[in-house]
Amino acid sequence: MAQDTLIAEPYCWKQTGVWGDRSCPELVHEIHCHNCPAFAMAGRRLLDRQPDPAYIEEWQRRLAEPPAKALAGQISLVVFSMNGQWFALEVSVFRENGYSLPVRRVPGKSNAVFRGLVNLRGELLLAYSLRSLINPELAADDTTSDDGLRFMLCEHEGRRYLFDVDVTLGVVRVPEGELSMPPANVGLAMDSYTARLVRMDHAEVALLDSSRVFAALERANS
Amino acid sequence: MLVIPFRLGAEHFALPATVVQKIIPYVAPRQVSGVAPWFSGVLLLSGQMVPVVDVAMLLVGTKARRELSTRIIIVDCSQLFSGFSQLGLLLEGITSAMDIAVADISTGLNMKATPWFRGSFEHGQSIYQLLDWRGLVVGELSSLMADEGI
Repeated sequence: MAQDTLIAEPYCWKQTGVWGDRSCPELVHEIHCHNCPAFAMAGRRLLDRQPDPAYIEEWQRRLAEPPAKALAGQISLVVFSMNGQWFALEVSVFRENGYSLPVRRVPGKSNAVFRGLVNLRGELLLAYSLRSLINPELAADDTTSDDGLRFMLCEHEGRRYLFDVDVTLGVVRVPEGELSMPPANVGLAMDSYTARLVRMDHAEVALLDSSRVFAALERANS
Repeated sequence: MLVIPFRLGAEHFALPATVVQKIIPYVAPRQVSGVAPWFSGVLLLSGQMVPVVDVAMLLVGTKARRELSTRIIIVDCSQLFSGFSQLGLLLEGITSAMDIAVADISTGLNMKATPWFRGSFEHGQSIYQLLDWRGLVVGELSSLMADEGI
C-alpha cells in the first residue's frame, strides 16, 4: 500500500508546521511538530501498510533460529592498553570506563601507585596507577602525562579500584584453550601479575591475575 | 498497570503487559488443515513449535489483517497445556503500550458469555476492553486438542 494513501495530503507539518510557514496554532503548545499528536498519528499509520513478503520471510527465518548455545569453554575479558602494551582483566571485575577524571592527591598518602581520590558522579573513589604497579619503568617513560586518556573502574571482593589506561578495546571472548602460560624465563615485575598470555589479532595480550593485582593496589594504599 | 492496546475493526482492546513474554512481528504461521478458522497454525519460534490463535477471528469473526502493526504476542501457557509451553496471539494494531491506573478500570460488567472480559477503561476518546486471553482461548483450544485439558 502506498504511503501517500495512508497519510492525508497536504502534510500539515510541511504546510503550516515547522517545515512550512509555522502558522499552525498548535505550535504554541507543542513547540515542534515532533510533539504533536497529529504527527505521531501519521507515523503510526505507516504501520497500516502491508508488509513486504521478503520482510516476513526474513523475520520467519530469524525467529525460527534456536537460541544460541552458551559458549562453553570461553572466557570474557576486558582488554585495554597502557604505554603501548595490551592487558586484560576478567570481565567479572570490570564495572565501567570513561574519560579520565582529575585526581586529588592525598598529602602523605599518595605515591606512585596510589594516586589519590577521584570524584565519580559524587562518589569518592581511590585512584591508582596500574601502569606504575605493573611496570614502573614504563610508567616513568611516559612523559606526556600522569593520566591516561580513560579510566577503568573495577570491583574486587566488594572494594572498588579506579585506574587510568590509554585505550579500552572492549569485551572480547577468548577460548580458554588459547590462553598460554607466560614465559618462565622472563623475570620482569610485569610477569608477577600476568596469569596467562593470549594472542589476539592485533597483539599479545597479558591476562592479569586480578587477585594479585588488587591485593597489590590495596597494599599501596595501606 | 501497563497494558498493550490493540484494535479489532473499530473496537479497542488491551492486554495486560504482565502476561506478555514477547511481541514479534507478524509472520505467516504454518497452516494446519481441517482445524477451526481461528487457529492460524503453528510457528517455529526459537526452535520450538508454538500454536498461533487469531484473536480477531475468535472475537469478531474476521481474520486479522496482514499489516505491519499486526503482531503476534507470545504468552506462557505451560500451566495449561502439556503439549506446548507458549502460545501466540495474533493481534491487530499493536503500536504502543499504555500505563493506566487500576482504579480507572471498571469491572462491573462481567458476563457469562464473555469470560475473556476483565473490565473496561477510557483512554483518550476511546473505550478499551481489557482482555483475559485465558478466558478467550483456553476453552476453545482445549476442545481442539485430542487429549489436553485445562
